[in-house]
Amino acid sequence: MSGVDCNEVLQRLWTYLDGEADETICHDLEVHVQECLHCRQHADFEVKLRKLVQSKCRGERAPQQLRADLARLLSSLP
Amino acid sequence: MGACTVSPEHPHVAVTSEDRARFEALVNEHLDSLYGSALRLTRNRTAAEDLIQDTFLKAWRSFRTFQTGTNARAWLYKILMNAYIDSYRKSSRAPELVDHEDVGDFYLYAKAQESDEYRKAGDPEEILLSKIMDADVKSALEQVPEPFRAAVILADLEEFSYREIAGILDIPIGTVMSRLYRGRRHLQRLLWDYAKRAGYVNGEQSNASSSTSP
Repeated sequence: MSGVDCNEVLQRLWTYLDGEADETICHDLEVHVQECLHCRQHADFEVKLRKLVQSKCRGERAPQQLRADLARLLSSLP
Repeated sequence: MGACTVSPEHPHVAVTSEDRARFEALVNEHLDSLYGSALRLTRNRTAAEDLIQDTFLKAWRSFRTFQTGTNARAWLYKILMNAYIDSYRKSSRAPELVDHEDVGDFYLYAKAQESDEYRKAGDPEEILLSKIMDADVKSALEQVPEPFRAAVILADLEEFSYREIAGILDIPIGTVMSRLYRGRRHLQRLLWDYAKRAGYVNGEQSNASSSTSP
């Protein structure tokens, strides 16, 4: 079993899922999340939620008019 | 070493067509994602377009100091965020920082687990996610107050690292983390409200469907 308990894992879960957890503890977190159903369910939910928010809030396209305005603006600049 | 090196004492070297071409390539590559972020930040198409024009104007002016090979996306986002914060400060808008009581990190997960209705129906987390799928997630995100919304947009939508966000916003990494986590907690609470409103097809909430019938 890994050297971290559920409290520590949940406290650092966002940092871990962001790929920002400290190297010294990263492996322990990974092992724990794999082995512990309770923490894995938390992690899975957060990952799915993040993907859902991305799918709903990304993918905007700049309007053609803005593109044209920008091109005109930039070509007029010294 | 090469002929292209611009010495700082001579900043007014004429702009070459190569410079323009390189800059245009940057615009084309990053415009959509910058525009998307501008929209989520300003919550308004006209304001977003103004912000984008301002951003690229400023970017062009300091393009000479930008070194090819460094992170162009982070550089453009730094200019965008500075322009956004400037325009935000200038406007007489009331400060958004109305912070409600804070909730825990896993608010939505906890809410799904607590819900008898979801538990009876099977997999509570999946049911909640499908309700959020039907909700207006963009509006929920746009309701997250600043400065927390910017941190969520940069991390969760644009997937910048904590270090990059610290550079873009000129704040310490610890502040990035506290804004981001606070922003996520806000967002989860808002998503819960939006999901509840979006999800009612059965009459579980009696007042939701009992509007005036003739």
